Amino acid sequence: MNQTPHIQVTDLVYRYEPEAPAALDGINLTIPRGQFLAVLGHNGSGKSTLAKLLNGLFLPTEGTVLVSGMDTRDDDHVWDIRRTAGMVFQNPDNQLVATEVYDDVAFGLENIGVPPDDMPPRIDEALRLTGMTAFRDRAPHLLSGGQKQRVAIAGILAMHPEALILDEATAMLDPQGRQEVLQTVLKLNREQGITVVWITHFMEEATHAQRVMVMDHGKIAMDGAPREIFAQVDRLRDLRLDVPPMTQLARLLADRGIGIKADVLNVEEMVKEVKRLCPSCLKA
Amino acid sequence: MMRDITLGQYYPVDSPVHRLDPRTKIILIFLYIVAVFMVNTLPMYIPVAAYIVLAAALAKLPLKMLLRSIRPMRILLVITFVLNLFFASGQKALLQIGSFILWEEGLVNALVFTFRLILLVVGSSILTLTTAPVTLTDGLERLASPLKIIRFPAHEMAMMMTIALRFIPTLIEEADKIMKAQTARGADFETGNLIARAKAMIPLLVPLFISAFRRAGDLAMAMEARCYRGGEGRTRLHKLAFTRRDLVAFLTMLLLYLAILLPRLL
Amino acid sequence: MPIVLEGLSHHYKSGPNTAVALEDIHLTIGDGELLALIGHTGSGKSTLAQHLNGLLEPSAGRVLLDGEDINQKGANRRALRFQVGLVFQYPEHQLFEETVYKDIAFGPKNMGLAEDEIDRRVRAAMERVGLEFEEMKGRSPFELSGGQMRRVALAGVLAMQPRVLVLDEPTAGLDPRARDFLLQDIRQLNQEGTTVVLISHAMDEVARLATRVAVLEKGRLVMEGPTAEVFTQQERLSKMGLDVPEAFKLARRLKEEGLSLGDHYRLQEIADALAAAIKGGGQHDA
Repeated sequence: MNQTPHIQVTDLVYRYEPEAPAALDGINLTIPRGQFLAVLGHNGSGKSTLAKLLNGLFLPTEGTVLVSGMDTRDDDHVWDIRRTAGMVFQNPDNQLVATEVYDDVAFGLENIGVPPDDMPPRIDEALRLTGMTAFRDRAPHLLSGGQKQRVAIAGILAMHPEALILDEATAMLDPQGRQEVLQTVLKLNREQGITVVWITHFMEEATHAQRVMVMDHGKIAMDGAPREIFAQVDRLRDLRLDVPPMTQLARLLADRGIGIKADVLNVEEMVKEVKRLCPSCLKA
Repeated sequence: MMRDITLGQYYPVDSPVHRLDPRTKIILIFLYIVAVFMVNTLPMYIPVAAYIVLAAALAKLPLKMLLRSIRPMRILLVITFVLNLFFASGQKALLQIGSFILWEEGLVNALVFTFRLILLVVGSSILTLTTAPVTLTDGLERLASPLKIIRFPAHEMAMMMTIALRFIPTLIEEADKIMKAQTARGADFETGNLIARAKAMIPLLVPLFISAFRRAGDLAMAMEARCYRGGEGRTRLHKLAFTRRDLVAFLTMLLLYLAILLPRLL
Repeated sequence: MPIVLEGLSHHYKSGPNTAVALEDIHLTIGDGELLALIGHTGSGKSTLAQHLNGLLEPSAGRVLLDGEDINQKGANRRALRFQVGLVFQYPEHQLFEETVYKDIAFGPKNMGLAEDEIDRRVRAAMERVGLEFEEMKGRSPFELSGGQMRRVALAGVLAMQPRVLVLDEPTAGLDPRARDFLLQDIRQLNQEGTTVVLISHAMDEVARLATRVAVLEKGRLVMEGPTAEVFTQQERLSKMGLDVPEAFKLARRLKEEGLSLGDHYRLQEIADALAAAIKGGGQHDA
């Protein structure tokens, strides 16, 4: 496995205006190839700002961002960076450019100058990977939110990226749409080895990641495996974040003197813990 | 509830006319319009009418659809006809009712001008019925691209048109939502005189404009993230190519011109 | 006095066909209750909401407010909208005025109220949603954060002091803290006497707030009853593609394993029951 980090952020500081307070204040981050990193944080924590710095849409005020060894500040490389690190945004509508799904997926390919004859197989593959093949002739406004986001992802996949950055891509979707997008991206990470940076404030989504980073007021407040992070219920509350309901329940039980483990993430784990703590409580 | 708002009048059927290169159709429309204006006597309209009828038949367009394209014009047609009928002077009188005289010239003019309007409208409808808006935009862009020498932004205009076409249904839906939200707060878009109603539009237009600007900003960023940097170095998925079919189409237009001009020269 | 839906149906034209948005809905919304309306996207929830304040007219059936048909000839539907306030999803998209004060005052102004009454209402509404009056009244709505804009939009409806408040996905897009504050406000409004109809996808929110739940599927009212009663029917709900709050899933799983926690579905109550059961070490507690 390639050991050079895919994305390397060093001493990153970002200000929206010269005299303004730093939106990002000294970020150091290494993302290895193929990792699924979830970035959590309250509104205003800087997570969306960080996303836009990863592909050169924003340039660092101080510090550097390297993607596959390329510096985002380097004019010669910024377009390569954007091709290899594709980005999906929050508003499903405001990413789709064409009047038909097929043409929209082609947009990126047209921009990078792919020969027309090479485009159809790439578009077909991208639609297949996102489960949108049946919708190729559809007009964007007739799609659901989840479908629109999958088209947006397909548009990036066609460009053969190595990383996918999703900036709160599920914030405006209903539960079904959120699942569609999450499952699609998880599959891409597992099967295609695409590095994923998944920015969200939905806790349940982060449980699927390999690594969770929590941001607060422009800094990294927590960084580790999902279990370690979610078990710290109080800290997360202070950071204005949610905790999965079962983790909350574990905490409530602990408050009542029960020796339950802190990192209970879902119903099955809770049932297991109950079995462990009180075998005679459960007949079956 | 997502409404299927089909834009323009595109009638998606497979026909030789549909398959023509959009550039061909755009050029033909110009030539056709010139031809229509060249005609000034009733008999000379016959080849033009025949041309358009044949084109419509070849394009597999139902008669109903063509008639429907004239419908919005019907008042104008009646006015044109009537005005030319009554406000004319000539030498050969056909009818006399009291002090009103119906001149032959008046009748001929009325028919010529009305017929001309009909032919123009039906002709342009055939263009929009057989060409998808995006294809039309493509054709216009390619035709205009030589103008890049004088810095005419052909690609940018085409991009703007495509994006506008893409967003019109979305903006309509949004306008609907905003109207409902303001109505829920007691806004009244219906009663009052012109001025009152114009003022009532502010709670609709302001949010809509702001939303449109926001969309534009978001979209620009998304386009950049997908490596868009203007027209330089871009390739196109849809290739436009002239085929024999287009040559034949141009030849038919040549025939039409001959049919119109020859009688005059002989 | 309640809102009663009698055989409410809503059909509309979709191309050459007629589509059904709502079919034969019978529902009573009682005074002071907090009813949650759940269902898949496309189940008709938003359409139903728009019938409650007369934005849409029924294709069949009646909508009664205080026993009067709101759609009968001569009915003043505009006045109705001041009594049944409807807050759409992402309401901040409708803000348009130059200042927060003016935008919130839009509703009361349309009601034809006197200046001093309008002022009173704007102040009350702003306080209710947690916007500091002196600081915020003169600011442009468009320079506020998303969460603040949402609160301005909500205040705009609250300023009309409606008896019934219909909220369509009020917490959509909010981060957890903003969401918690909003839900608290809604609960308080309900406790002070406002009837609330809450349309939501977030089952945990529904479980926290609602006393009664109505489930729509493909335009029909398929389930209706007290919150616990509806959520215990897990298979039926998941067949419709609807989720159930985690707490219910746990209660059901524990029951399968032989432990009954009774009817509780609020986390605090479950914690109490479960703690007692574990400490009792074998004595099933309910």
